[in-house]
Amino acid sequence: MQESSRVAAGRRRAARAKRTIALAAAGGFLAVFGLARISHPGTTATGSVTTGSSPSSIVVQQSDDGGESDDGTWSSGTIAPSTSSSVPQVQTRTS
Amino acid sequence: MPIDWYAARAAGVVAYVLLSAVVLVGLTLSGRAQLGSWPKFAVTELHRFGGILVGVFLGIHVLAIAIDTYTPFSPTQLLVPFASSYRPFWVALGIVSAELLVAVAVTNALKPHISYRTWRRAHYATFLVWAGATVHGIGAGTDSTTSWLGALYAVCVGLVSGALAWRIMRRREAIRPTSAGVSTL
Repeated sequence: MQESSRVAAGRRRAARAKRTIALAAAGGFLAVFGLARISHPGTTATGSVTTGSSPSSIVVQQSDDGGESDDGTWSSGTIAPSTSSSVPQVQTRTS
Repeated sequence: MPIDWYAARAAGVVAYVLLSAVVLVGLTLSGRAQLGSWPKFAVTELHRFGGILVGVFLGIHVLAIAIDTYTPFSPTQLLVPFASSYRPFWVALGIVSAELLVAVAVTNALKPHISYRTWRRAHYATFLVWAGATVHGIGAGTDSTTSWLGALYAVCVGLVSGALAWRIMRRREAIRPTSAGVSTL
């Protein structure tokens, strides 16, 4: 009788732990999703480009195959004002 | 950037953390550690459930990469190592690890029909899966250089390495009296 109550208690404990792990995994997924979005340079650099002459004309430079080169590596895209070459470029994509 | 690319990365990280936890629990079980009021069958049940969750998040990881348009992967590139031109070595490590994990899952399903020795030997492949997943995550993951993910990898590697060292020491302690007894005979 005592043995079966111990088994039942163990089962209850395992069921609770399983629920907690599943919820933690789902929460972890959302947290990492958010962290990956925040830490990606493409999102953090948005809106931080300022130019002296023509702030509205921003050219996004990227290769025609989506940034991937022949050797399998990824080239970085850049955002730069179209009129002035002296303004520093902002990197938006990394590999 | 498409949402599925973030989903692929998040699912990969969660699958890796869960895999590390499952390996930790497995080492605790095989080392016969005393877990207070936790009966062994309950810990075994958690170990199994963790393994299923690893499979679920690994499935999401692969599926999200398959439908992603930011870094397109064909079915062949997802299944065959070195078929992808995107970081071929690191991606191949991930593919091999995932396929090895499927093989371990198959031996788990066949456990009642195979010998314990065969099952146990196949189960050791989980260490290769974990090591491969670690290197795959660091090499292929686009967030590997971020401090939060670096810390996560450090914690997982530290915990699993520590548990593995503890397990090896327990095994040596268990073998020592037997071999001493044999030598005196």
